[in-house]
Amino acid sequence: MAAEVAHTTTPELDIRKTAMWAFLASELMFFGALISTFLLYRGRTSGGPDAKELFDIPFTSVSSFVLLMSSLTMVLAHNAWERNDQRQMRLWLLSTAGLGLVFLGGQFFEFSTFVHEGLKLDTSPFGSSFYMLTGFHGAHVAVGVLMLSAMVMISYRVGLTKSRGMNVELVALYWHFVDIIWIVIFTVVYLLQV
Amino acid sequence: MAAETPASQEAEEHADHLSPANYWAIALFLGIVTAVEVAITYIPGYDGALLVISLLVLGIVKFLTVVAFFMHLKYEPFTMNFMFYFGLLGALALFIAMLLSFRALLDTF
Repeated sequence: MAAEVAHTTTPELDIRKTAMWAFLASELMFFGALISTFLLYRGRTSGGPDAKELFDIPFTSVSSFVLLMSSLTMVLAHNAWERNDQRQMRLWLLSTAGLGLVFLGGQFFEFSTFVHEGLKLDTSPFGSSFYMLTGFHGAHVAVGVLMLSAMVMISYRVGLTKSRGMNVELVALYWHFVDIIWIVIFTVVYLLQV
Repeated sequence: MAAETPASQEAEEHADHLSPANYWAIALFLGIVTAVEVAITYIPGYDGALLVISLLVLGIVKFLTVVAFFMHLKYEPFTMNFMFYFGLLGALALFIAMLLSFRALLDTF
């Protein structure tokens, strides 16, 4: 009976993972369009502040480092899940969510500073494309934090074992994706513009 | 018998080859690459095409490292690799097409 269950559930799990990769591929194109838009409009400041005046590279570098380290904690959570170590898994999931919140706090601070210095959503095409790109990325991080929190709650209620599906693996894929998008944004939007 | 092993099971077996120590080492590498990225933007005279190419190469290295080892794509079946890299190529094609449409490709960097 157990063998039957394993036999019938494996293809289903595979499909979920494949679907996640397909979703991430579509997200790549979504962010590709947003990054292209930013690059087209980066010089159109309409008299408002530009990237050189606004960007604080040391601060954004720390944010980038925080997000990179959240990928480490996420992969450690995934590793603990594979070993069925629920305690370690919860610890790393919570660490990942915490680092995600630190990143979001940094982004909120950065946006507040930029608005204070005169860059609002409707100030210029540069401002609009910058806030759309980084704002959508921030929204993805926020969704990731919610999913991680849900994982922790589910693990306390019923446990997150391999036999209960591959939720941790799917959330991990999503979280790492958010990280790789930030790697591109940090290089192309921040470092190359100053 | 081995031929009947599901692809996802094979991938998990490969993924298990990486230990937490390996992941810490990869994270250290990523941290060092990020530090190098930031550092070279402050080197006087290190600018123009050289800076752009260096930053793009370092960014690509970080991107592929996370995808290959943290996302375990290196150990996944061909179908998943194909889907992801097809999406990546699609994004690059979109990027080039958009910038070409506005005659902005060469001005971008």
